[in-house]
Amino acid sequence: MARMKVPVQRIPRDGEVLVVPQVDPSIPEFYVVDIHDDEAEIEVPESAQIEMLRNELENLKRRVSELEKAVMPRATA
Amino acid sequence: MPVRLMPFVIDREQIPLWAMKPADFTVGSVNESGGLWRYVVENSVYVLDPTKADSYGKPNIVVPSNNNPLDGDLSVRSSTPGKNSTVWDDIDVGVDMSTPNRYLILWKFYGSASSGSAGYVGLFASEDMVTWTLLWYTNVSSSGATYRVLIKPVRCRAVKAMAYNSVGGSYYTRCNTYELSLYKV
Repeated sequence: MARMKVPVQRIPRDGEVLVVPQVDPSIPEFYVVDIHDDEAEIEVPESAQIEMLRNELENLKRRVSELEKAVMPRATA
Repeated sequence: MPVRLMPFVIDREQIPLWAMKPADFTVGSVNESGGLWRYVVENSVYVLDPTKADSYGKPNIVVPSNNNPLDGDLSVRSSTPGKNSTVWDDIDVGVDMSTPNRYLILWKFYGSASSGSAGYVGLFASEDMVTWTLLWYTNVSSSGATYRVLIKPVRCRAVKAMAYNSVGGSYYTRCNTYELSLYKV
């Protein structure tokens, strides 16, 4: 599993305080393994990393396709 | 024959303070067989009976009328309504063990979100019932999926599920627990 450090947010809520690491929305799943003051260490399971890489790959394919479409008319002109 | 997890297996990293390290042990490979929890730690298979959990039969502190999550049955899930909150909100299940301790937590639930929105479900733990720290988090999608979570916080008194939805309004995030088991270790 990959580990990374992220900032921590403390959210007051109905007499409670929620301690929540702030992560990139592209991370689909993680465990919180450590908290020091305003920094947390999270662990991203391999299955989640695979999902992230697949999403990234799809985004890259989409971007390539968009660029190809943009370049094609100029190349054939 | 169910086998209780022996402390020496999981106390690889002795961390004294909850606030310094919420979880010292996380594994993803939890499953079930014959109504029992089954999981693998470093190639060793462990089996736990949900009816032998220390949380078995305790009140659900989030939805008191919902007994499914603590009834020892891994095959039936709760049917509590989803949440349309766009900020973290209690959902479906929580249990107060009364005294802080080291617990192994096993959680099986079905999570989903309304189509066109993103759903988020997390498991929070507390030592004092005031400060709740996120232990584990996942995105849930409109297609829905069953999630099985294994985690061992260093020290906690209670755990509860929370969720939110990216859109809110008529869009919901659902979390329906089959079972939540806490074993003192």
